[in-house]
Amino acid sequence: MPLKDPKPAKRRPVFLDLRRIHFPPQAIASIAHRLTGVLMLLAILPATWLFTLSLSGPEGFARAGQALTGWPAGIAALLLALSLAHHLFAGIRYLLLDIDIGIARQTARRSALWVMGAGVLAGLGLWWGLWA
Amino acid sequence: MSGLPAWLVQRISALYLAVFTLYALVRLSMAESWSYATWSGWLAAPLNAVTLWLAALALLLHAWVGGRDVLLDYVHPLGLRVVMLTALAGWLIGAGIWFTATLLEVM
Repeated sequence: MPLKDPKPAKRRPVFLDLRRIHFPPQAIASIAHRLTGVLMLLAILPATWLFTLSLSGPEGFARAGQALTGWPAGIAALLLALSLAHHLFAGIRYLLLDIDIGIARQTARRSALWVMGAGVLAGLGLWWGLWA
Repeated sequence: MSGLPAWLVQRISALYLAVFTLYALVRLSMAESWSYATWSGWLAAPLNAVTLWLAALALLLHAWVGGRDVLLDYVHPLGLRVVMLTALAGWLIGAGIWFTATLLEVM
């Protein structure tokens, strides 16, 4: 539970000019890491269903293939491909940060931008290669 | 699972998943065409089945620690938190049992 501040909130500075507040790239990469993780978590059970269907026999294998065609499955595949790529690259970045590699602020900022750029490119490539 | 064990599990499973994902993508792109016979035949090899099962275990542990972190950060009312944590556990354990049962049938 969040701690309640016993002092009145009146004296706190309020600065909510949305045109001037910017999340740094590190924060955006972090939020995206969580969001993509949750998205893939939600895909676990449907993926298990597809896995079982694809192994239920030649007919089931064909039905699983059919389930993956069409635009709703295509959009889901695109989101999951982007998620996987971002989550993987951002995760490698966190593992490096864990062992103090790239911990300086400017380096961390640059690596976050690289992770997001590479994540989008690799995600699109993965989707193109596997689904399209 | 919380604290240092959770932190360690998250990172060890991350390493396994990262290596496995890259291997799986290379393997997928190498295959000329997939049919039921090649797919089930690939899984009938014990080494492949065990490698995949370990990946599924790593995925479920990884998803539990990550999902739990997200829920603890954003869901504060205790009752709702317990319900959502239980749903998450059920979602993952259910997938794990289902996946294992399917794999055992193919092996």
